[in-house]
Amino acid sequence: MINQTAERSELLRLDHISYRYETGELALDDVSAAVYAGEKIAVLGNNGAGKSTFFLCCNGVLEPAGGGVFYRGEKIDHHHRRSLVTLRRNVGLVFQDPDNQMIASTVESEISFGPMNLGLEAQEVGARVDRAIACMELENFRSRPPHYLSGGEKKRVSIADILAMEPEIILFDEPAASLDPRNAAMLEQTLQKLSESGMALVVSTHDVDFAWRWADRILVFNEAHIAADGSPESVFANGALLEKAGLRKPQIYAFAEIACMAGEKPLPDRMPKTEQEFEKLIRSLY
Amino acid sequence: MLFCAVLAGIMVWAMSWGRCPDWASAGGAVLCTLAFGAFALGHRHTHSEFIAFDYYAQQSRLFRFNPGLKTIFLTSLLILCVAADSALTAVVVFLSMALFTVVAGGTRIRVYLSLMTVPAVFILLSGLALVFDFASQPAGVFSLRLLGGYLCVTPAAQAHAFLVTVKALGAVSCLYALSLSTPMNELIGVMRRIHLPAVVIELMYLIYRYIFILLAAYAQIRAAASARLGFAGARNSVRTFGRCCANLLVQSFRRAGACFDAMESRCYEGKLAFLQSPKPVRAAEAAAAGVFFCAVTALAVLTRI
Repeated sequence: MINQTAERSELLRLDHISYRYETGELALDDVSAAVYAGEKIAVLGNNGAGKSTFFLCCNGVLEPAGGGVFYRGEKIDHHHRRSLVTLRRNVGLVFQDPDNQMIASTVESEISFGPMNLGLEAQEVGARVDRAIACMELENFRSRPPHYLSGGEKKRVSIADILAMEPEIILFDEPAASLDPRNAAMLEQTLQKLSESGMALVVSTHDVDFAWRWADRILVFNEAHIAADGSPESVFANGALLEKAGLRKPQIYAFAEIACMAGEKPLPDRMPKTEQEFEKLIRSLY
Repeated sequence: MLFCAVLAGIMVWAMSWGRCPDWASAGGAVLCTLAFGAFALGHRHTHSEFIAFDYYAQQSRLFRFNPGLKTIFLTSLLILCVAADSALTAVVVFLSMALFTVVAGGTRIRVYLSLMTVPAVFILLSGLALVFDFASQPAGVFSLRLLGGYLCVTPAAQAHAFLVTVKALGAVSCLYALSLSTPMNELIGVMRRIHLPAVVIELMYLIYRYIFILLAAYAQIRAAASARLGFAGARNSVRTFGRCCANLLVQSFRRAGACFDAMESRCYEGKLAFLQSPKPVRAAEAAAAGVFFCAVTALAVLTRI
């Protein structure tokens, strides 16, 4: 993993940051993490473990009490406008509840809000809005008020909002929450598409099966700390960690373990991630 | 709605009493009440209609016109209607703007009437306060003994109340013509063009937006409370209503915070801006607006002489 990321360029780095709520509760305690170009990171951890606060710090909405946030090696000054804009234009954040994000009265003007704030020319804004609409397949909703769309459609608008700002990293705060299976599957395709276009994606989720299948790196949050940061293989092989963070093994992973145990064979070097890989493993065992 | 029907009936009666035969006055009042009442019974008023202002604006056939032209035309008409002090001008403005919205714009008449009832209740209530005088001696066309004095309707008060009512209705119809054809984000574009301070625009827009968030949040809280029988019985209802409101305050603070975070994360820095599709002013439209405005001005001047 380390060798792999060393070749990629570092985009965002959070260096020993802490954040305390007004109530005095510590939401993040000495957290360090970095995001490299083109990565697919899943963020796991139970409710209240600090995932959302972490995202808000990554995007510069919250200013961490200690430590620093770096973008492409440059330290972000939270009291300097240009510096904050650099961070926010490059690190997009898709909020969990799209309703909180909707601000305008048509889908088109809603998506234009971000690029307009970047101070771009109207023509460029229009081109970006068109691209985001095409990417999220929202052509038929262009002049509809976003508040009246269905949950899945709103989610697509909230992603298009961020796409139009053309960031290098997109953070998704529990994107699959309250989506039906079909929309969740569409979301996964979208994530795949975005990743193939070279964007780094950081997705917080409770769905370990999704994290195992999709991510090439996993961050586990537990009680305001990062309890683990590594490959999905290393995270799910660590029983004590899973126990501590209240996580379970992905189903396909657990079944592969059972199959190997029943066949009295050692675990394979590469655990299956898809049904096809699982079938191959079973055939090799029996 | 039914309340509005009764109010309208009383107003028709109080303003026409003594000016036309008694049977016509009373009959007109009853007819007016019945007409409004029938509409009210066939129609349940919901909050969603107000939330949908922008939605109706987008559906309107007037949506494609230049927002700046509409704003200038309708605001100047509004000012003229209020400043002219002429009942005939106000009635003409009211009727023409109602027709403009419903016929030219294609806003459904049910929707228009339903949206109109809220301001109409306020206007009719204040009209009632103007038409009735309290005096120690009987006076005018109608007096009723009340608490040692007389509740009277004088012709002067009738004329004054009528003028104020139609002026207010005319002004509201201008505002509705604007807001039922121009969505909020276009109005913001216009306000920016005339260099209104950014903080004023921001405040206006956010207040406008949060009203809907509050309404939606309240509807949810209320539904959850009534699902647990919170509104069974008068005592319970009052208590539940209080709790709903308290909860609403807490929730709206949280939601406002979350919304603001979302705006900031998209580089919002206190200057609201949205992309607008260009809608050039067409000469014919500008000319039509100008001619209509001049005609109403001429009417106002003529009635004042």
